[in-house]
Formats: sequence, structure tokens, C-alpha cells
Amino acid sequence: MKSTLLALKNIDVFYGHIHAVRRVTLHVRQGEIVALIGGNGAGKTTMLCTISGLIRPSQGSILYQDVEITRQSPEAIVRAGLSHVPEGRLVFSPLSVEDNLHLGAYTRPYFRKRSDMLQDVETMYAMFPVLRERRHQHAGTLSGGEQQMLAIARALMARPKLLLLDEPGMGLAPLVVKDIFRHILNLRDELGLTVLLVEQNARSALKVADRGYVLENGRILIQGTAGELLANHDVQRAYLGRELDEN
Amino acid sequence: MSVSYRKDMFWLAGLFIVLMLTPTILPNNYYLTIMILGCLHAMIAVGLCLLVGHAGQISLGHAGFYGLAAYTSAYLSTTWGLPVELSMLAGVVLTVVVSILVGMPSLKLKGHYLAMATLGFGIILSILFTETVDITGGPSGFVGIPRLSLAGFELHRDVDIFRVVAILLCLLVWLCFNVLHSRMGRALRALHTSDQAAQAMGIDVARHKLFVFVLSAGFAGLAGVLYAHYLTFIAPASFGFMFSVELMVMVVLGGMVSVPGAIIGAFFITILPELLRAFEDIEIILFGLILVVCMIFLPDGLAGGSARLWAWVKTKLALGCSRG
Repeated sequence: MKSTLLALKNIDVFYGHIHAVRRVTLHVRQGEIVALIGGNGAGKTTMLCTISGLIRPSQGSILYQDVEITRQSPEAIVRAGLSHVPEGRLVFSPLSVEDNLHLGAYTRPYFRKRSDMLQDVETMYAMFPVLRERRHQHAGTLSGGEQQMLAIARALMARPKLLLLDEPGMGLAPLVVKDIFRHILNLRDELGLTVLLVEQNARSALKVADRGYVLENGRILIQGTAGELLANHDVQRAYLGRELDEN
Repeated sequence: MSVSYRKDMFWLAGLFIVLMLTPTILPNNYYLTIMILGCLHAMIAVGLCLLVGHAGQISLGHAGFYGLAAYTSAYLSTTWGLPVELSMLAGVVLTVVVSILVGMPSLKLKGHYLAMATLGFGIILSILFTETVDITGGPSGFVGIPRLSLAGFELHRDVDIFRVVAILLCLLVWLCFNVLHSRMGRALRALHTSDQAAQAMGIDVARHKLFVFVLSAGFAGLAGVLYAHYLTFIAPASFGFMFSVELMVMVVLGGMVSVPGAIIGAFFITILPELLRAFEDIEIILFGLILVVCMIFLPDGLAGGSARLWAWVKTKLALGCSRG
């Protein structure tokens, strides 16, 4: 069995009085794609932000490669090898596509290795050719799908081992969603990246994922391999719309 | 060096030449005074352009920093009799220190709340300038401040002061361009879009916000000490809330993200009221009207507007040539 890259133990997160995440324990193994699915307000985004250090948990611990990162700054966490692609993409719209990519490498000591960084930019263009076409365009003028690719490429510029993806398919046309998920699979198969994926679109997510967790009201209700979840009656009823199909 | 950096340096060289030639074409000292004030306002405006336009952090307290530096330097040089250069340095340093103390808590706020916090700070300082009569001279002003001097030589002529101020302005603009074209500059623009996204990239958001806030306050401080030692008289009315708003108007009118625009905006806002003096009673109405018209027809500011005008002229010329 492959080694565990990320492990969360009994994580609790509060927003004021609101108990957003309750005693969540989960793990991601090296080279896995793990999907975190659930409805609106289930605590999915909160989970990702907690892992990347944007939100502090009130209790519990987060281990990355067996090192505690729970109270570390977001900068330190990015340096350690976790890159977060935030919900809604949040590309830096007034900046050019290329500047966005350069920003992704912000934590790298590029003054020593500028050529390395430029090399990585070329790698990104090779992976996402559409970004090369638009390299000098403002990121805000890109289509939703292109922005999503840019957000992913930007995160990859930090040379992460683990990619945290928040709703990569949000607001995109089904064909584009398919394309994005194909890219995510490639990242794992070709770059050996580990991916923790948050999605409302449970079916697409479970198609590419190895394992999944179902989050509801901040709790993990069900967990298992992607196949098990797809076959699970409760998951089907709540997230895959199976009952509607049958009726 | 990138193309845009070269373009900016080209622009800076142009600004320097224009400023150096300005005194020769101005008929008298009245115009020179306005140009000096324009340069001082431009110094603050370029700092604000970085803070507001690029990093997206609003401040309505910069008139306070401007005044704080002016009063500090005036007090030290007049009441304590320190050399002018030293008191000017102390004025800028104190402003920087205060901006760090103010910036650390208030930059946690965003948008309107940050505006409120900095506004409050500006008003507190403005009240201090008025009420601490023993130190500042109160509403009737601080008189008898020594003139600006450089290495022991007092600058008697306004032309000399203008040259010093113009050179300093060019230095600050050079500094701004270098910040903007660095890794730091990209990080600042990232803050503008989203704190969270910037943080997810590993950018230390708090530190960058504080840096740009302190930098812009330092610019305002430098302008403030020069102002005090140029006019040799300062009064609280020059450092009130309205001046903070005027500074913001300069940046907005310039096009928010354009450093040249901020400079043009600063000169525009400084010179326009003087041009409108002839209209007496309706002066302020015309002033407002011109600003409104500018914002309607030049949504990307004076910088964007003049760039478009230039492009239009070029195409017209090209057409004319091809026809002729």
C-alpha cells in the first residue's frame, strides 16, 4: 500500500458560533485522486481552506508527510508542496496570463532559478496550449474553462506534490467539465501528482477519483472507493439523482 | 528588461525633461508655486496609485500623514532649532513609524471599513493639529518655518526649490516603476483581485499590504516636509479630510492603475482651480462639472483617455499619409 501523504485527524472548524466542520478524519495516499463530495454548505470548501492554512481549525491535527502543518502559515504550506486552486478560480484578472503563472511560482526562490521558472511556464503552455495563445491577454478576458486551466497551471507553478482542487467544474459547460477532468487525470498519471478534489458534481468527480468521502453538515457520512460510492444507494439517491431516473 | 518597463522609463525621462524645462517658460513665481504644489501632490498621488490602484487598499488618511510630517519637521526646525535637513528626515521617519502602527491593525479591514478606519485616523490628526495650540499654533497656523536648505545652503529662489522637488518626484516615480515591475509588484496586484487567492499562492498578504501602505505614507511624508519648508507657513486647513479626498480624486482621475495618470491627475487637480479663478462664484460648480464630465467620457482616466487620443491621432495621420 502506498504511503499516506495527507492525514486529517478529528478536525473541528468554527465560524463564530457555527460549527462548520465536525470531527473530520480523512487521509489521502500518495498518487491518489480523492473526491470530497456533498451539497451546498456541507463544509467542503472549508475543509480545503483549513488544509491550506487559510482557516484555522479549533481542534484536531493535519499531518502532511507525517509532519504537523496544522498551525503553519499558508506560505509555509505552499512551500511544503500543497497548492490550492480556490473555488471560483480567482485568477488575477487584471494581470496577464503569463504574470498569473509567474505569481504561482511566488514561493520559489526564483531569483536564483529564474530559468527554471521560465522552463516551468513553457511546460504549462505545453500542457494547456490555449494558455500559450493567450499569454499576453488579461486573465479576466479568458472564458471560464480557460480560467480554470489557468488556475490549475498557476497552482502547478509552485511545484506541488498535492493539489487541492475546489469545484473545478463550477459553472462550466459539460464538455468543458469533461476536458478539465481529463486534465486532472493526466496530472496524476503523467506528473505523479496527488489530488484532493472537492465537487458538487459527484458523478464527474467519482468517475476520475480512486476514493471518495461524502460530507454532510460538516460530518463525513460515507467513505469508500469511487466504485463503492457510485453503487451506494444513499449516495445515488442524494447526489446522483438515481431515484429520479428510476421513477 | 521587458517592453513595458522600457516604456515606463521612457515616460519617466520625458517627465524629467518637461519638468526641467518648465521654469524657463513660466512667466512668474505664481505659476512656479502652483507647479511646486503640483509636484508635491503628484508625489502623494503616485504612492496612493500603488496603494489604491494596484494593491486595492483604500486610504482616506493620507492628508494626515502629509500634515504629520509637515508639522513634525516644522516643530523640530523652528521650536527646537534643529537643522532643516535633519528635521525633514525626522518628519519622514516619524510618518513611516506612525503608518506602521496605524497600518498593522487597520489593514486587516477591507473596502469601506478600511476607508472608515483611515478616515478616522485622518480626522484625529486633523483635530490634533487644530487643538494642540502650544505645539502647532492651532487654527492660525505655524509661522516662521525655515526655508528648505540643502547641505547648509538655503534655497532662496523658488526655481531652485522647484528643481529639487521635481528631481525628488522623478526619483519616487522611478522607485514606483521598479516596485511595480518586480515580483513584489505582481504580488501587490494579486492582492487586489483576492486576498484568499493571493494567500493560496503563498503571498504573505499582511506584509505586502503593510509595505505598500507604509511606502505611500512615506511618499506623503516627504511631500509634507517639503511643503512646510517651501511655504514656511502651515495651517491645519491644508491637511483636512477634504485634501485626502482630493488626493483620491487625483488617482481616480488619472485612471487608478496608471502612475503617469496619477501624476497628470495631480497636476490637473492642482492647476484647474487656478484656471477657474476667473469665474469667481461658479468656480466650484465648474470644477465639479469638469470632474463629472471627465469620469463619464474618460472611464479609464486621463491616462487611458490620452492614450486613446494618441492612437486616434496616429491612425488619422496614417490615413492622411496614405491618401496624400
